[in-house]
Amino acid sequence: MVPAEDEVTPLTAIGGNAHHGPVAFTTTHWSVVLEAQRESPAAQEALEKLCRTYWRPIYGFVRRQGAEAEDAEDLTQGFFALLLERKDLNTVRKEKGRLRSYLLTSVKHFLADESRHAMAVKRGKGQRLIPLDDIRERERVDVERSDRLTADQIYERRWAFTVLEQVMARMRDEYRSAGNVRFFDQMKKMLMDEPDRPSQAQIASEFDMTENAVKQAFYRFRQRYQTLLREEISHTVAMPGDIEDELRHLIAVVRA
Amino acid sequence: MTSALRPCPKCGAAIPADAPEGGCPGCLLESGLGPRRDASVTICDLSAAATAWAKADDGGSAENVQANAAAAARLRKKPAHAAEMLGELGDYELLEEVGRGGQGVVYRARQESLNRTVALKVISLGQWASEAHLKRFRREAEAAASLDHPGIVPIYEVGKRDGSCYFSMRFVEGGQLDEVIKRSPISLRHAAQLIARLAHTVHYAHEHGILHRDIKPGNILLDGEGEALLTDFGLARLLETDSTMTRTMEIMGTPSYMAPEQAAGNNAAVSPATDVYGLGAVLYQLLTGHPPFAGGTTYETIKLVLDSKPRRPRLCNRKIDRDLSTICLKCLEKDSKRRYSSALALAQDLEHWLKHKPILARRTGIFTRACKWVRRNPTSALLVASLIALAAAMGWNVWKSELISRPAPKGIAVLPFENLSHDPDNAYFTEGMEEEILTRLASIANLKVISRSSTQQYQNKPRNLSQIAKQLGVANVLEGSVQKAANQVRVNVQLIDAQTNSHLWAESYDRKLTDIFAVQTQIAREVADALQVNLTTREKETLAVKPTNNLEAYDAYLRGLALEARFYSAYSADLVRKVTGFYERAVQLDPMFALAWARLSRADAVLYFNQSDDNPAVRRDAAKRALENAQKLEQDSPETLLALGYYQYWVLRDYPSAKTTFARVIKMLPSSSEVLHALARVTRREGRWDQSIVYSEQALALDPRNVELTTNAAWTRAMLRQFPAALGLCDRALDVKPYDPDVMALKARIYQAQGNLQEAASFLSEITELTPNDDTFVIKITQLRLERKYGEAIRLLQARLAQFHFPSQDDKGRDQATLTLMQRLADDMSGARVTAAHAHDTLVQLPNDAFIVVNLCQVYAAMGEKDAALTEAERAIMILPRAKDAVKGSSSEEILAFVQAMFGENRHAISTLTQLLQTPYSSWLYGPAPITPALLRLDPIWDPLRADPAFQKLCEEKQP
Repeated sequence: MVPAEDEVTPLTAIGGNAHHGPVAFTTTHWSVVLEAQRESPAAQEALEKLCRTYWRPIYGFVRRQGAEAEDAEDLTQGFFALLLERKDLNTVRKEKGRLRSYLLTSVKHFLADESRHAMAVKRGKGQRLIPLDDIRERERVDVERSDRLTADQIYERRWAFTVLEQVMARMRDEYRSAGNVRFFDQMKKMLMDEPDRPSQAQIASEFDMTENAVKQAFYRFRQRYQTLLREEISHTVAMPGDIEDELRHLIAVVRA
Repeated sequence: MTSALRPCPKCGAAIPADAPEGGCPGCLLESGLGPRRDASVTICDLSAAATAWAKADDGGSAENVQANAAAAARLRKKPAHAAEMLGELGDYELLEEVGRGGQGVVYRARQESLNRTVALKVISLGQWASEAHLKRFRREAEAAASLDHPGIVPIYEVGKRDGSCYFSMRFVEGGQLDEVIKRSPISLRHAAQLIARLAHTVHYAHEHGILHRDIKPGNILLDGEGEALLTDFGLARLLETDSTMTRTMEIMGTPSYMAPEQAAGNNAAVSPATDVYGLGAVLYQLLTGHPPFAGGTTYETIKLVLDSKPRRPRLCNRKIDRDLSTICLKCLEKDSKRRYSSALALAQDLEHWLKHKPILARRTGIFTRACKWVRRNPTSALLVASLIALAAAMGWNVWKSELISRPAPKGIAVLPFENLSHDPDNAYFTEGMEEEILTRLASIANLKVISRSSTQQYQNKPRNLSQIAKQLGVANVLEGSVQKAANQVRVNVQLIDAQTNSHLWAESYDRKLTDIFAVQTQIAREVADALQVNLTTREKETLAVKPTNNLEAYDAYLRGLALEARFYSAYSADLVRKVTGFYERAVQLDPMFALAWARLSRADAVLYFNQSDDNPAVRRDAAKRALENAQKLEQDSPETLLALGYYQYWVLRDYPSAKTTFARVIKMLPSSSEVLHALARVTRREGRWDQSIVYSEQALALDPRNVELTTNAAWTRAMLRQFPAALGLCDRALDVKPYDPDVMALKARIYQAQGNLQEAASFLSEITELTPNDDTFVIKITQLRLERKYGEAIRLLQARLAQFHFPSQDDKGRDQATLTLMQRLADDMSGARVTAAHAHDTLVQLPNDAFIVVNLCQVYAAMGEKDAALTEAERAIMILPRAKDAVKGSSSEEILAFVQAMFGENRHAISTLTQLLQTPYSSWLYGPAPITPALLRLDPIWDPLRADPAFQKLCEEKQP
């Protein structure tokens, strides 16, 4: 039963606004961080949230620079610890306001600095500011690839993947809270063009819908996905106008 | 590479194993772009370019546009109401997007006035649309529109609207040739008929002075009747045109079907025979089911196009008639003269075959094959050049503008070599090899060699060689990789003319470690050869030098070199100590290793100069001993002389002698920015400011991206109170190394001197108690003093003294002395007393150099001990008088003025300050810039003088 999904919205309206409409920009994390000059708790919280989300690209970068897994974890923690302590971000404008570029520049700077580096390892030890989830599990895949990618490439790639993961996680949460996880899974398979994706007819029969309703539901699923994707990206840029550019950059990264 | 799970059904790209949720990341991200908001104007889409490049990388089409119609529509699964979102463009209602390519987007559209369906190609705008881009588009449209032939998709209208360019053409229902043959392969006969017809079409275009240049299955459409039409004159050019654009030439076709002359980027060689090749390549595809050349990547494909013979079609499919195979291979000859003389000749020969008549083409005999073999070998050089040309073409408009702008002067940059060893610990070896080759090249007088500190920034970055060459001001670039495993070394190098992207020389060396010097020598000589630089006998000897016979010693030496490179832009005593450790080991293993002795001496000298040791005499003696050993072994080598120069500069502070020595070295190493830099610093110490600036500028001209050099030049300007110039140099350094805290602090320092505290603060936000460079830290403290935020300054100083690991005691002593003064300013006398005692204990243990004495003086002054303070100030002036050291000498006078002011000797203080305001120097109190009226106005240490009208007058002076 998918009551919400079966409700048909005029497609033109969706097409016009769903993902090109203004994203609620004032509340996005990175812009909050950037706007708050110093020590705003909201900015601090936003930055922490961003760090929690985007630790993997940093970790991947540090690893590729030759750090052992454990050291890389400590360095990553240490880096974020330092970043979060340093309450103002006046210098960010230089990087055209992208969180992605800012973190990459910062981590490079951080790693280049021998003594800060040692200090960070020390500080990072045992600290768990950022939960480095399932690091080991994914490690293998990352390392395998890493012999052919530079640290920057790994970072960028990881970043793009993290954005996508974030979006999918949010979609899943939304459908979960509406009690539609199973429906989400099927829609996701269709979106991803997975080999075992069900046909629209199969979905229709499973959820007791008309095929046309499935079609509409999938269309809205895609639209929602696009909206969330742009929203997620908006969290990492300073200006709404940057979303498109950032998206294109990420496309170029994964297509490389 | 990680095994891919599966290809993406949408775009065909392999989905990597680590892709989120197993979906195709590219497609998932692209879906965020969605349909255009307002197609009438904002058809700006970078993804077109991105997609096109991605496709090109797969050996596929870089420019599939119009023809994608049916297939694209099928694959895209467009939302049902897509048309409603697309909008309109003038007379055209956009119905759906049917294709994208490097230049534009193609829509199925309805032309309102004539009520017909057309294909509308609209050029992508946005940041990629340069004038050249638009020009190219218009030319394409004009060229195609002038053709009227049933085999060519007709162009209806060319237009421009709201900043977009577009043209409409016949909408061909059906599909691209490659789509169609995928569904149902065609017979040999049909293939021959089809190519014959296309050859007639192409001949018609040639007669009208137009080359297609991009014939491939994706540009051939089959209409409802199965007739072939040529479309997308995306690369077509009027034969007689020779604009700037065509001269610079982008090679942008699909490499699989591209003729060798195109792949090599040889624009002049592109001719009707190029299209004959394209037709042959399509024929090959029709006969065998695959293009003549298809590597896994663009790189590999081009390599094949240039280097390999196509497999004989009969080897792929025995059914292929021998004559047809011969016709096909004649089209694919590498030498365009050996192909059919025209498209018409090809058409006719195919028709002969179709009519079972003897064909004109002859199979290649043994002799020709041998010729081909000979011709194949020199192409590896060409190959790399063309790859670079191709890579550059992918970002064509940016690249082109740079290429045209100005020719770079002759010179060479050795870019960071890639470490291909499995063990990342071998990075030092790669870096060392790079440095050694660079050093050898630098010894050649007629060659300008960019220093490693300028090239280091290109490590691990995607490289745009022409851009790099432009940034560095050189014409040539040497790239390489090093792989070391046990006793075996593989070194690959390639020398590239970055301007033309032509490959001048490339070689691969597989050697035993013991032959490593020979390899270095050989590379340097080959490079000189390739650049047509004549070597003097002496230079030849220098190049052939074998610095040690002990490989272990050499290994330690290379480790030292690699580590040394890391303090190019930021001095770190700990790091330099490690460096000396490696050199010490090297000379221990081979006491005859002059080069290592020389390097050791320099490292010891710099530690002495920076007062990094608690017992500097030991360091001084070590520097001397190492120098003497180097001199015993190689008295007059440039390295030994450099060590001597630095010993005179850093240890003896005998600037005139150092200058003479460096002047000797510069004759031996005329393109060494390092020596010029040393000369700039030595002459600065002598107070020869103009000379110093000239040397700095010469060094920067040789080495434009060297942060250390740039920062040092900024210091000089700051000392001279030429603040705008100094700020400009800082920005230049920050361009290369963004967020460098030391450079940012220097900027802050300059803003302080100008009285702009707000701006200064913005560059100091990252300075914490743990900032490694104490000079940088002190600038932050000065800022707080100028802002009169004593509490904050005290907290920061206390935190540093508690937590920071001081690499040397004198920095600690300085911070303690600074804290004493700050507590005094904050009226915390009891705190000041405690700190003063600590500071005193620290400082009195250290040798009596000016730096220590000045700090002691500050402590006494803060504690109100007038006599002691005055004595120390005068002692500082005696130790380092202005006449002996123009950079630091005057700043002891500044301390004297401070003491005089503190104890009410206004007249003396003001007189000293008046003089200082006219003098260039670097200050103890304020970091690397002198006192200014603004600092007098702001700094609380001058408060005792405020009521004095003479002081007020000084503060009002107009200078910065």
